Amino acid sequence: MKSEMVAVILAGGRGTRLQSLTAKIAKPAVFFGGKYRIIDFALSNVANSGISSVGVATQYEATVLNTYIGTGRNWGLNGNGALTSILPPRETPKGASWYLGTADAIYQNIDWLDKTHCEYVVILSGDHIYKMDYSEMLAFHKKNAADVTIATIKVPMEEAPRFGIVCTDDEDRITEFQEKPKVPKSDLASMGIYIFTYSLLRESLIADSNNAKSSHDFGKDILPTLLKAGKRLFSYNFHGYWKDVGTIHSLWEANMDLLDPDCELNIFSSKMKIYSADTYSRPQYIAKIAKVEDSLINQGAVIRGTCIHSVISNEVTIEKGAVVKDCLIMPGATIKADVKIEKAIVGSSVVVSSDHIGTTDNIALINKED
Amino acid sequence: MARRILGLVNCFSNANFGPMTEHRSIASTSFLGRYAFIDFPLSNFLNSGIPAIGILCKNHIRSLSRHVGNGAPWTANTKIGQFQILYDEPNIANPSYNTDVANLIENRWFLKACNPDYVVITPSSTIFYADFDRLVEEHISSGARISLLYHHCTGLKHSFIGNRKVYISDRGKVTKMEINQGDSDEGDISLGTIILDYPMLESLLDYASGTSSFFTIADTLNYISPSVLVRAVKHEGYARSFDSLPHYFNYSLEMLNEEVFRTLFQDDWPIYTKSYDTPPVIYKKGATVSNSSIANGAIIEGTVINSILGRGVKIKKGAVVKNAVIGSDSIIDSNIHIENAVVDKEVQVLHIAEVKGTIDDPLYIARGDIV
Repeated sequence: MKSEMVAVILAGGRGTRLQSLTAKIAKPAVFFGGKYRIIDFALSNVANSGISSVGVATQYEATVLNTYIGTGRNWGLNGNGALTSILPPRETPKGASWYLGTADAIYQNIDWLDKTHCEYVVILSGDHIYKMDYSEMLAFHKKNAADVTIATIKVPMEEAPRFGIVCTDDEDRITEFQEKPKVPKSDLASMGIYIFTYSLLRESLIADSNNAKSSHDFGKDILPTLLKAGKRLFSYNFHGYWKDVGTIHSLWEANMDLLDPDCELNIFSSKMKIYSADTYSRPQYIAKIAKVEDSLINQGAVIRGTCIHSVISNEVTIEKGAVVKDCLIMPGATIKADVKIEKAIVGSSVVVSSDHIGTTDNIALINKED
Repeated sequence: MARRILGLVNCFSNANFGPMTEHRSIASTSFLGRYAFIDFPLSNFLNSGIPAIGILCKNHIRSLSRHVGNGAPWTANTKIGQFQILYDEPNIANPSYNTDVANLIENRWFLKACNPDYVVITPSSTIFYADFDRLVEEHISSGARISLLYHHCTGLKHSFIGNRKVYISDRGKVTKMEINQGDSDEGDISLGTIILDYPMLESLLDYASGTSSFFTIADTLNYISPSVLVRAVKHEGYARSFDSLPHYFNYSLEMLNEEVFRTLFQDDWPIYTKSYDTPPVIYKKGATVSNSSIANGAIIEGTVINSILGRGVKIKKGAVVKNAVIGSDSIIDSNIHIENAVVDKEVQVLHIAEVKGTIDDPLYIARGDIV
C-alpha cells in the first residue's frame, strides 16, 4: 500500500542523563506515567494521525525496545497494508557502521524509505511526551509548499538558551537557526519533529553522507544547509503540552505533571488515546489501612501504606506504614513497611527498604545499580 | 507430534443474574471491574498450553463475540491454534432443544477439523483455577474414559443450586449425578468440567441424541455412569458458581479479602482479557479509598469503601460508594450515596441522593440508565 507520509522515529540514543535508568534499556523504552513507555507517545501519535507505515531506528541497548515494538500491534500498526519496521544499523556489502548521527540513521535506511513510495516523511524523536496530530502539520506543510516543516513550541525567553531556536518571518518561514544561543532572537524552540518532502530529504541525506566534515545531524548539518540553499523551511507552531524527558528531573517533573488537573496533556481524554502493552494485571487493590490521594496508580498495584501525589506503576506494592510522596515508582517495585520516600524515582523491580528523601532540585534515584 | 487438546467453554447453564443478564450471557458479564467470566476458563486453557478453543454459545452471541473477538488475548499461536464461537443457529429459538449436546452435534465439523486427542469441557459461570495440562496427564494415566472435576463443599443449601451433586464410590468412580436442590448442606458438587478422549466424546454425543433430544452433557453423564468409568477428580481451592445476582454481588465483594483473592489468582497464572487502553486510575485530592479493587481509567474524587469499580468509573466529590459493584464508565455524581448495590455499565446516578439495597438483596441499576 502506498503511504502519502511515513514516520521514522529516532530511538537509538542512550539517554546518558537518565543515569542508571538507561543502563539496560534505551531511553524510549523507559517507563512513564505508571503504565506507559516513553515511546508509546510517539507511536500512538503516529497511529492517531492516520499514518500506517512507521520505521523505528534503534541502536543502544535495543533488545527490550525492539521486542516491545514488535509488529506494532500495541498501537494497531500491524493491520493489512500497515508497516512497522525496526531499523537497526546493519552490515551491507559496503561494510557496517553504527548510526553516526540523527541524519545518518535515516540515510542508512534510504532503501527502506524508497520501498514505501512515500511523498513525505515525518521524523520524530522517541523520547518526547506530547500528543500531536501530524496530519495537521502535513496540511500546513502542503499549504506552504514547504520543503521542510519544523514543529516549534513557544518557550519562556529565559529558557530559550537551552533549546535549538528558530527565527521566522511573518509568514512562519524560517529565516535563521540558533543552536542553544546565549542571546536568543526568538522564543520558538524546535521540537525535533520534521516533515520533509521525501525527494529533497533523499537528496540532502546523500549529499550529507558524502561530506566528511558533517556530524550527520539534522539540527547541526542538514537543516542549516537547506536554509542556506534557499529552500522553503517553515515553522509549525504547536500549542499544547510537550516535554523532552531527558534528565532525571524532567522525567520526574513530566510524571508529576500528569497529576496536575490543568495539565494540557490529558491522558484521560478519549481523543488521541495513548496506547500501550497490556500487562494483564489484576485490578489495583487499595487496602483498608491505605491512604491514597492525588495520585495516578496503574493496574496490578497493591497499596497498603500511604501514597500522596505520586505515580505508581503496575505490580508495585506499597506495604503497611510506608509513606510515598511526590514519587514515580516503576513496575514491580516494592516499598517495604514503614519506609518513607519523598521526591524520588524508584526503578523497576527495586525493593526499597530504607528511607530516601530527595528535593525538587535533587530528585533521589533509587535503582538497582545505585 | 505433541498431544492435541481441544478446550471447550460451555456457556450452557440456567444460571442468570436476573435483569443484568437479560441482554448478555454470564460468560461476557463483567467481573472484578476488568474481566468477563469467560476470561477465567479461557485463561486456564491458555496457561495450560491448550492451543485449540471452542466456545459453546447458548445465546446472546453479540455480547459474547464483542468480548472475545478473534480470541487474540487467549491464543498463543495463531497458526497452530483454533478459536471459534460455536453457535446452534437451528435451535436458538427452541429452548428445550438448545442444549450443549445439540450445539456440539451442530458443530461436529469443528471437532473434526481440530481432530483432538483429548477434549476438556469447562463451564463459563463456575470460576476456579485449573491446570488442565496436569489434569489431562492424570486423566490419561488413570485409564478412565471420562474424568469429572468436583468440589467438596458446604453451603449447598444456598449455593451451586442447579449444579449436579455427585455420588462417588470408594474407588473414586461417579455412581450418580443429580441436580442440587439444596436439600443437604454438605456434599460433592460437579464443577461441570470433564476430560475425555475424542472418540468418547463422539460416542457420548451419539448416545445422548439417540436417547433424548433434550439431553445435556450432564444428563448423559448421569445416564452412562453405571456402565462407563467416570472418574471423580477432587478440585481443591477456590470454586464458585455465579448463579444469581445476590451471589454475583457477594462473591465479587468476597474477592476484596486478599486471602480469598489469592486462592483464585495464582502467581504465574495471568488472567487474560480484552484490552481497552485505559490510563491508570487517578485519585484526586480529597479522595478516600479503602478496601477496594479498582480497574484502570477510573477518576475518584469521593469516598469508596469495600467496593469494586470497573474501567473508567467516575466518583465525584462528596459521593460515597460502599459495598458496591460499579460497572465500567458509570458516573456517580457529587454527594450521592450508594450502598449494597450493583450498578451496571454506563449508568449515571445524578438525581437520587440515596441508592441503597441490602447485602442479601442488592439494588440493581440497569446498563445505560440515568437515575
